[in-house]
Amino acid sequence: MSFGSPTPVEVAVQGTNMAANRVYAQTIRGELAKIPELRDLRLARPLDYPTLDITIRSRPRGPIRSHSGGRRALHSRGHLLQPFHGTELLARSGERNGFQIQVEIPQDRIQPADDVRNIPVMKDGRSRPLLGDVASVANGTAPGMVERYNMQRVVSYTANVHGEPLGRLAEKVREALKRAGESPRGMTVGLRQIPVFEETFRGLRTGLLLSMAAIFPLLAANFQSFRLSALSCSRRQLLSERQSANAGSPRRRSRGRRESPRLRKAGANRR
Amino acid sequence: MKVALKPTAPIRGEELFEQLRTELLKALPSCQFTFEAGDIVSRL
Repeated sequence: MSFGSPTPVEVAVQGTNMAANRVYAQTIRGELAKIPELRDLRLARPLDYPTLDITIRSRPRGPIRSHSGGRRALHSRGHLLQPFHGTELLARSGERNGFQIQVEIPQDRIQPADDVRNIPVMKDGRSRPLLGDVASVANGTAPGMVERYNMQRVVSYTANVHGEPLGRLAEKVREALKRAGESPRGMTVGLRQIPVFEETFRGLRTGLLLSMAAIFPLLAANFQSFRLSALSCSRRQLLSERQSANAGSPRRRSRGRRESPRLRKAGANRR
Repeated sequence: MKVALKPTAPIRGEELFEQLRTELLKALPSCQFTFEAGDIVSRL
């Protein structure tokens, strides 16, 4: 189920200071980028998501300055959200049935920053003042989503794997983390998928060994020989069984019927 | 974007991803593309 990560490799930097997390995560990214088998290396959550920074001025400019504009500007925060979140109305049909109607401006119709500046912000439905009169609107960036774990902020990089098994690549990822240097105080670096993967394989390996340990005495009792029991558990035996199984397949069987030249000669001599 | 290949598609899996990475990077150099599994985990 991929354990919450969309890709096989995820490196998470966790700490209280988001800016410091980001700086250290970028160092790690530089080292991970040197691994040729990694693909699609990227931030799991965008940190520079494009935003519009709207700063409401306490003393607005324009015609409303003359009559307590600062106080009126406070209305703008709520009215600014209306075009995006919509106006909710509760319509009633008869006495019992009620349903909600939401009216909002489609987001694709508000494209440039000027569209935002032209949003009317007075609560009595008047067309002016506009948001541009009471606030400054500028382009900015902000984290698209801040992930938290144990009350600490997390910056994580994800990557796909190409041409190498994950188990072998895990060592390279760990070496890259070592090259990135020791993490600053209060910051921890963790791999998300790889430890679970390794733990699963450790469990499978232990299970296999335990099952062999359980089967061995049974085989020894059946053959009445420890040697035969060990031979039947050995890799060589498994390989020879596989070869005999292949020889039993129709393609191999037809080949197996042919006699070798040496045997043919021996047969002719006997005759 | 969720893409499902037809059963008769001549190219599949990692080979296809690698080819798309190369072609998309050429066509849209300022964009970043990743290939993730279209499973239920990524939709939660």
